[in-house]
Amino acid sequence: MMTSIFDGERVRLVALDPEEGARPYIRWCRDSEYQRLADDDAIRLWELGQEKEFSEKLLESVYLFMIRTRAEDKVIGTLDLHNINWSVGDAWVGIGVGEREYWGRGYGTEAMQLIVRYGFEQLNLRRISLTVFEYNQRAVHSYQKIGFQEEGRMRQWVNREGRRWDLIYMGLLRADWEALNPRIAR
Amino acid sequence: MIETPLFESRTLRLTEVDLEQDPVIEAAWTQDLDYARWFRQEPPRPLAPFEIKKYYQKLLKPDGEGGAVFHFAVRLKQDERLIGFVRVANIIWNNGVGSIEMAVGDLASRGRCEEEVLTLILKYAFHELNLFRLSLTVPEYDSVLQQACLTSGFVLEVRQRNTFYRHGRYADGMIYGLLYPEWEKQVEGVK
Repeated sequence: MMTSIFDGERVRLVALDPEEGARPYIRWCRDSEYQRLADDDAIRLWELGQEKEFSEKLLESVYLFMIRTRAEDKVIGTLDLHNINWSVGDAWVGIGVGEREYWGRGYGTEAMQLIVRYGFEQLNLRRISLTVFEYNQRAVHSYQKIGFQEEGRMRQWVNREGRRWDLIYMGLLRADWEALNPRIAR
Repeated sequence: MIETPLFESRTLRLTEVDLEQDPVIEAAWTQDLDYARWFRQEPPRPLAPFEIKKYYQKLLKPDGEGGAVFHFAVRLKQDERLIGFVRVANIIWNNGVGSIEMAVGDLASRGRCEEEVLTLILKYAFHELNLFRLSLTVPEYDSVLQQACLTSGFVLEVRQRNTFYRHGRYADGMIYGLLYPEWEKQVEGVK
């Protein structure tokens, strides 16, 4: 296969196929920690058909990818750009690595770097936004490596087991990303 | 107690939307893109009355997309004239959080009523919806609403760089937050 802008060293972003993507996703959801890292709604479990239908609908408005490892060709997570505000050039990014054995090993960071580059160099975005829970420091460090800066915190946003945690807002401006990646950016 | 009037203050009243008359008035206000931006996901443009009506019909469906939105028309008590809207939206019940969205379209009322609108909606959100925290996003250039937030006890929590674009310039999005215990202390202090 030819190398594309969606290929990193260890991961590749591919179109989400609801048929193929739903099965690992509902399995990841059984891991409550995975869900609590990813979402602020009350976590719950979905039936296979519901998940397929949901992601099919999502694909109409969201730039949604599956993250595959290049070595094993294994789906390890999902990644998306959503709520794109075209007149401002801003999009929100969301990532979830569901396979635990790939946590903390740089796979997510590499996938994130690919989608950020796609957003800036192909979609002509000016900035990319994200939020992350205060308790997800592994993700915060990953985002910082790419160049995301903290822009503030919504205090005591999420309530987990009787304790409240902040929701951290981070943003990456294209100009800052280009300065950090002179070899990639033109 | 339960006798506190939640839908009226000194000069204002929160009411239901009038689907026949309000969209006509609000459509005229959408010539101002900062009013128009509330009625469409896409980049804003002026809207016709039927578009505003359709937007409200969708928003106000009890089990539809507007399920977690508590929307009010804001009127002057003296003559029941519509001046804008306010709502509690984006509620996440398990965390007790939500956001306030508001806009004043009536030119004569701008800069005069924002704080009073906030007082009303805060009382409703904290005492009736029992939320723990509220936030409000204001573009950097809207100094009137920012001042009203600060006077109402909100704290500036987030400054998102370049998330608005008006008149050829980027502007930051200022996100203000207020926690129930902070509000309660403030209200107790006024009594």
